[in-house]
Amino acid sequence: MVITKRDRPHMAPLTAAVFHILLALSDGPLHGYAIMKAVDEAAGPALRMGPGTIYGSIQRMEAAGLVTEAGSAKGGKRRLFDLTALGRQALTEESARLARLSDLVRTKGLAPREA
Amino acid sequence: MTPTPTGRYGASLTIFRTLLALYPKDFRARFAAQMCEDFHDLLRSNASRGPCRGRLTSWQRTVADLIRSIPRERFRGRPLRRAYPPSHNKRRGDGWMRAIVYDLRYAVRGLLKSPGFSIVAVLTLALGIGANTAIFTLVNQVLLRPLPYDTPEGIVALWQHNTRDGEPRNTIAPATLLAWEERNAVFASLAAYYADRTTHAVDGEVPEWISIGMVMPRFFQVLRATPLLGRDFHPEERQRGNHRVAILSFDFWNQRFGGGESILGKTITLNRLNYEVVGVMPPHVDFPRDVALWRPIVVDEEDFSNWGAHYFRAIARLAPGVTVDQARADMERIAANLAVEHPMSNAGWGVTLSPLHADMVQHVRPALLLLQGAVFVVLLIACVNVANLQLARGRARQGEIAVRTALGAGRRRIARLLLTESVLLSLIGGTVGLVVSRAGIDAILTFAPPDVLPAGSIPLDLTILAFTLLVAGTTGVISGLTPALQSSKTDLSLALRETGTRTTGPGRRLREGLVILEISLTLVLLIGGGLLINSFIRLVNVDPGVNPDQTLTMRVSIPASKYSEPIQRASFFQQLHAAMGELPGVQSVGLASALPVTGIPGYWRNTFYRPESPPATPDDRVKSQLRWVGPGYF
Repeated sequence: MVITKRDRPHMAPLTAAVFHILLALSDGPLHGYAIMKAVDEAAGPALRMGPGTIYGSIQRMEAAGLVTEAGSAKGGKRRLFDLTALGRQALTEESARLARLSDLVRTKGLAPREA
Repeated sequence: MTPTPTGRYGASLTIFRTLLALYPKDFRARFAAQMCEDFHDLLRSNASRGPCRGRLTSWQRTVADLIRSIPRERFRGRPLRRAYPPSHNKRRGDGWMRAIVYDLRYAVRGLLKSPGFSIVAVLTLALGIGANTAIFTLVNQVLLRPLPYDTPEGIVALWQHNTRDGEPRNTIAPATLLAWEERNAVFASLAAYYADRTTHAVDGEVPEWISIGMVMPRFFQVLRATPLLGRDFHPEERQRGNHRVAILSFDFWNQRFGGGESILGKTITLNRLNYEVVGVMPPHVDFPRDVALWRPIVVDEEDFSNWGAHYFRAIARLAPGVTVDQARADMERIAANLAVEHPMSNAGWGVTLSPLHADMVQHVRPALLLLQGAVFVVLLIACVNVANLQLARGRARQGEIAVRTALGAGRRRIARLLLTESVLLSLIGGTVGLVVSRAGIDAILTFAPPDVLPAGSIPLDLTILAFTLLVAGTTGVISGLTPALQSSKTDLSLALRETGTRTTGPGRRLREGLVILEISLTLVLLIGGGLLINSFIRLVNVDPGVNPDQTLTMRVSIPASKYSEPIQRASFFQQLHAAMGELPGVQSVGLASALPVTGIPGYWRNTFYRPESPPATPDDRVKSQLRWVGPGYF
């Protein structure tokens, strides 16, 4: 896949799936099922990804230079995926954007009050 | 290494592996093994919920994922960046297409978010659309579809019109028919027919009752029907001695003779007499309805001087360039002349002439149109109902709509979104309605009298599908327009701030208006239905003067070939009467030519008068129906 200007990471916002996969991999290399579990924990029922979505996204993120395959775990059974430097940068930029947005919402008094 | 399908989750893994074939080849080659591992892990992690529930939860999630990801991998890569709504896309062409897709996705999400509303609305619309489709299927089949013959508009049905008694459709006397045939200048061909019943026997089998069409030799020329096999009747086959020939209907030929061509020239036995099969008609020739075969009418010369015995029906093919009105005028002229020439038999008799199709459906036409009107009102009620539901839902969504408006969505845009939702709702309703209509048609055909509606099932065709689509689309627009316009008028400042439940003036008035409309439409239907049920109850409660409890009936017909002498027939019925009386459980036995409250009006009708006071004119004679009864009948 050709990386177009459209797909460059600083062109945030990212899709929810891509952001959560990047977030899951920020702690270190994981295999597909572990990514699925990590996203489940982080995003809750709002974003339920299955294997098809995970690997489809990983394939495109790999082509965009955001993630890379990082060998195998447990004697070659599961393939691991890791963040690239570009991926980490995209995650940082998207996180900053979301943080700004969150601050803005809070300043305007639009965020739900915390109990 | 992937989990072996023979393990604890063997069946699930095998199905999952099969489904993976739907992904593109290169995707599969790289990730299939990993995906199977992941699915296996998912099954194991959900096992704590119990064997069934665990599998169900895993499959629920996986199927949703397959549905989302397979098209994405097959047809396009999903962008990493978030897509903006197409309303921001100023490009023409694909922007327009994307806007529709966006609207549809929005509509699907909206409907899935409130399943209760969606299910109630879909079921309401399904009933309304289904009922309309069912009745339209019948209207289309019975009233709209032309008869399956060559230029069917040129075929007319003829009856003698009894102007004194106001009975427009009387069977025709042979002498009258002959006069019509000789004197008319408007028909290319004219043929008499009548339907009869007879027993058909095959050696060694129980004889069966079949309907036969007794026809004049030119009958098939009027219909322009050519035999599939063999030939039409010859003119000389209406003479006694040459008349032992028959043409089979397509169904009878297939069901009783296996559809073999060797049937031509074979002999079949009807009422113990042998007839030679000379032809087979193609499947579309079904007139008179449901006949198994046709035989030539034998009319002896003396019959043709009989002006009083009415038993023929007739059809005719208009001559080229002659209209139905011209033909009617010519026939009226002939009838008027006959009335002058034969006042005793033909005074007071005119002619009823109408296109054959209209004649065949004259009894069902008003009922079908009335039914179509009634189900249309049902559909209107469904529309109003759904519109009301949407208005109520629109109120609950005022906040959401206000946010959209605040973000720049115009009034038209909001109305279009809501209208798409409503049309989608009715299209789903239409699809469910189609299923409802099939069940409805089967039920109607099961309970309807066989001579009124076509036998067997009516296949789904393009006309019916187009009708359903049209009705569903229109229903969607009608039921969605008011709520869409109303919701798009949302007052921003009010809606965004509002937390309580308050209905604004115009919205409430609109909803009240809809409720009033709904109640009035329902009342119309209820009153109509109530009157119909009342008539039915009164009809059922009419005292026929006989007590049918504990009474059984049976019909016997004896072949004239075996019982040719009156004394033989009398002896048969005497023996039958005696034998039946001796059956265990039988208290009494009666014989009659027709059962009470049955029979054809005008059939075996005679006139009488007292010899000491003969009537001044034939009209003054008292008319009566005549029935022959045996001992024990009363």
